[in-house]
Amino acid sequence: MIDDSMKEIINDFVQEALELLDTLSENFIELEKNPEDKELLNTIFRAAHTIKGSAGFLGFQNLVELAHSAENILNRLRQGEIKLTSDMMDYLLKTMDILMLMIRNINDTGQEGDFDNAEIINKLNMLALDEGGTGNTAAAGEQNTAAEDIEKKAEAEAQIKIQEQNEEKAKKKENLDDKDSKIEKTLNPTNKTNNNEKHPKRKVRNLGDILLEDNLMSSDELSQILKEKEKEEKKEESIEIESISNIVPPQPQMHPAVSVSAETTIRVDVERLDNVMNLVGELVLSRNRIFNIASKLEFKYPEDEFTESLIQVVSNLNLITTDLQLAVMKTRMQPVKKVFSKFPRMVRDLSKELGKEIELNIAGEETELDKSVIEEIGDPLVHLIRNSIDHGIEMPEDRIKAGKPKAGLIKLSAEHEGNYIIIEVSDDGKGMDPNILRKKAIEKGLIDEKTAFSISDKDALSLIFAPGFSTKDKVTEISGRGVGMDVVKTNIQKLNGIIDIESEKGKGSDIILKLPLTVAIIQTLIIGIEDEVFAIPLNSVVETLRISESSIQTIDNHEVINLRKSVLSLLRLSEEFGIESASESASDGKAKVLSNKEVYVVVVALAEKRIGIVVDTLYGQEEVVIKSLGDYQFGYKGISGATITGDGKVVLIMDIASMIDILQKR
Amino acid sequence: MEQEAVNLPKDKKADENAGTNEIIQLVTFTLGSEEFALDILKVQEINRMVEITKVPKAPNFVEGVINLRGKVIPIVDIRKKFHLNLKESTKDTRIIVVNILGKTIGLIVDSVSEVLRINSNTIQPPPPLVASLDSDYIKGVGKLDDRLIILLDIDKIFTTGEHNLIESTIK
Repeated sequence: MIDDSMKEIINDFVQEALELLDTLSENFIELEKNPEDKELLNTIFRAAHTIKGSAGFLGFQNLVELAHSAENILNRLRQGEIKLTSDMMDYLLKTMDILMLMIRNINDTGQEGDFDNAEIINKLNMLALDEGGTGNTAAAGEQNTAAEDIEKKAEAEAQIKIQEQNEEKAKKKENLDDKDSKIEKTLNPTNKTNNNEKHPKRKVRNLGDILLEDNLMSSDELSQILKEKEKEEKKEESIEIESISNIVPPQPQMHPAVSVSAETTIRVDVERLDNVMNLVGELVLSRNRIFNIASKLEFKYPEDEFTESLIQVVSNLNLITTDLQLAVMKTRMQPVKKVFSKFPRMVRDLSKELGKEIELNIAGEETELDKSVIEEIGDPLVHLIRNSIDHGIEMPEDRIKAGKPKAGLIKLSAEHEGNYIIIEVSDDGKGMDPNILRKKAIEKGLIDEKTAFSISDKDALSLIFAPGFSTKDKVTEISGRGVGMDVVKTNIQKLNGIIDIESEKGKGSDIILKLPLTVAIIQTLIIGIEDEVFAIPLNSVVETLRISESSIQTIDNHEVINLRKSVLSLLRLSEEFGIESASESASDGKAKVLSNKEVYVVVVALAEKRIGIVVDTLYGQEEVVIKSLGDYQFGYKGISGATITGDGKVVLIMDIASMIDILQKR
Repeated sequence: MEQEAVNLPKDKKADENAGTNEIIQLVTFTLGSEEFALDILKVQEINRMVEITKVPKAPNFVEGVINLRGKVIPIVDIRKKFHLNLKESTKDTRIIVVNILGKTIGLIVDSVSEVLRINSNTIQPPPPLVASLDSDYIKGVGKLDDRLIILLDIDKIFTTGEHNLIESTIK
């Protein structure tokens, strides 16, 4: 039944509707804070109306009904006839959730599905009529004057008002359900015949039909209005062609955002972008190689004129490739807002549930990062924020006792720092007590007592990331299973990110995520062991040290060094990789420890853990494109991928997460 | 001749019409003094020896990985696989890039001799033991004048366990 072109139309609808719903729930939260904001109400109304309109066009009747009921309330709010109550907001948000579910369902199945919304629709209608009972006549009168304004006001508002007016009047005669079915009746036949016609025109005609049918307007009046409308539309079209869209006020029925931006944006399949990204990766490799060869030639034939022009061309190529790479990367960039926008709602719901007062402060939501990173950070942030709400922020009375403002504050911010993005979740709650964390960890059997008290306070804070760790004794709906922080750790590790926790008892906690901007092209530190060369993702590297072998100490057969008063475990890459040392193969282990040979230690961190990797040589930094080893892993996890360096050689990229694992299991 | 023709994947007819003059093309290479051959359809390309990057903890017959025009592929030292004495690479050493069960793998051989067009009925089933090799992956032995060429079944060269080692172990 559903052919491809229909599928495409439905897809577009789903995309648009989901985006609109996202903004809607955000706007609702905003509205709760400023219930008097007329502009905001109008925006919300327009969005809801667009969803209703498109759904009607596609024949999703259930959706239309629900959206319509919500719209009724919104309209009355907009007209100032009723006041926004917390109860009302709950139902509106619930409606958004149901709409979201329905649209997801349409996306998955192409069908609306069976949703029984009678209850919520009833409730919404009740809310819409509530209070309105007394103000009904006044409202109608007000709208009558509005109807007279139509001729003067050459703007889209009028269009809606006609409709609303009609609805108000119809309400007097019939109950809502009847009226809906009537509109359906009049809408549907025209839907079939007028599919190709312009959206607003169809609407106007339908309204006209209804108006006539109900004897609410004489045909003269109607044709006059229709003429007005047509004139308006013509004007709009011509203006749109000249794309001076600013002059025309937003047209609610014309999908405001789309009509303006349709000419400047284009939806592209992610697969195509990935393909372009891969090709650019190949190009970067080739550039690296040419660059390498050119510099060798320059060294060999410094005076040659061809060398000189080659160098020129290469440096030009270099510039272009870098720009191209940036440009392609940009196409995959999305503002972090996409993730952040769902949090105000979450904070509202959860704090209400827990009886806490919490304010969420979001900063830097325009910060952009790679799509793949965006996809991965959603869940960790949810868990971090839930954690702050549940464990961090105290109950209002406790806060007052502690001399803090009644409402807790959670700050969520994002900012760029070089090739990284820093995402910070902080709260001004009760903070974490390292000693309590230690005790809980021992209770849960995650570490033994000896280790628990030998680790630093900062490391003790990291205990919250252990799977199964929870300070709650009871499992609640919100937390207590000890899964959340484990999810945070796993996802951040997957992205080669670093987690840093700072917490002060009584003052609050601060969790900082440091994530790479992109995952396909990374900066690496090239290191050497004997003759062999490996790459370490630079975003895991904290620092490099040059130490003497004699400063390495042994605790429980583990090699460690003392780095600024904290103990750093060491992993000898030559041992781990089984690379035999040419010079030391003759001497035994003891001699090695005593020798004064200098080695390099690369301090790497992943999520909350730090270790030192002992290497022979540091070659420098190189930007590389990750090639998956894909089919060929050789059963070893220590290598995450490979890359091809400037000289065409394959260099293996180390997997820091596994290195840390390996060291811990020893 | 009344020998049984060898069952070649691409030459099913050879089996049915044993004794007919089916021409098959083989790539021949040497390991020490022995001459081996592979079905040309399994061979993607032949390259000169390049620098091989060792892979830590890889199975011992895997020499490492190389960059094949932007793709990273594993290299197997066929001498190690066949438990022959190891040999330093020379200017004749070649990497034969083959497709084994959908995977691209490079094989190091002493030298590549030629592409041979050979009549399928000159190939005889393998004798029980040839040059200390197990005979599962030997398809047959071709006779050409005074030369004896061992025809390998590349798909059977690695045991399932070895395949799993080479293949992905990601969850």
